Amino acid sequence: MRRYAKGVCNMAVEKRLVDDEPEGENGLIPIRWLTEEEALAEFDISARRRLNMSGEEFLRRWKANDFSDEFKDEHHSAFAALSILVAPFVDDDAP
Amino acid sequence: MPSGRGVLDLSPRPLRLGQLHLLTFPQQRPVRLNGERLYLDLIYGFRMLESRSELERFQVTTTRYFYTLLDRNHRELLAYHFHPVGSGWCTYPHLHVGTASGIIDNKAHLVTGPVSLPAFIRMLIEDPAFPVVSLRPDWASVLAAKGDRHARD
Repeated sequence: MRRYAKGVCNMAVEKRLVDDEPEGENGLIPIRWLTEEEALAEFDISARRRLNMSGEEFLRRWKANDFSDEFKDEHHSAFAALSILVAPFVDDDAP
Repeated sequence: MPSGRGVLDLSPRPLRLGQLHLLTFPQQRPVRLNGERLYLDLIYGFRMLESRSELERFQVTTTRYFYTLLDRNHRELLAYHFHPVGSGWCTYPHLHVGTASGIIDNKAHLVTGPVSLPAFIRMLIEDPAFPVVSLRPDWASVLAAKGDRHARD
């Protein structure tokens, strides 16, 4: 097996995805790539719909660890979804 | 959103080794499934890693997920969760059942093993208890190609 430095692999993966334009490949549902700004805009929509707060407010309170256990429990499903959706925007060494 | 062919959102761009990426429906809204009026709310988190296999250079590792089946009024029927960071004490993969039994309510975290997205989709299509109809006849081979470990020949 050929071994590549991690940076080389990163570039190889990025190049393949950019060059191959995988949307609709093999008749599957097309994939739309979002930039970080687009993803943040969608996160805002989702936070407003799920918890009736802006994405910015959720992000600020998440970083400040400002959600009580009671709040998390009361809004478990919405909070579970947003805890996943917020992950790309925070320091993320977690799994 | 009506049932039928749609779009999945993937973020952030570009795909990088080791970085968390999320797959969702547009605007992170539920979409209607083909068949009866059921809806699917989907968030799938993964990382792409270098593989130790000589056959494939890369592998996708599921790191978190949120597969929720909703009724026509967007009430939760089933919710398969794996959210290991920051949203409470339950860090293992689990299931919430929306129909209250009177003894165990929908806040109960029913333990499961990790549930792959293809396996969840297979359950919805294959089990007659779910009135979901696949849009394509080759759904089983598509799911098998995407790593459905429960796939059968």
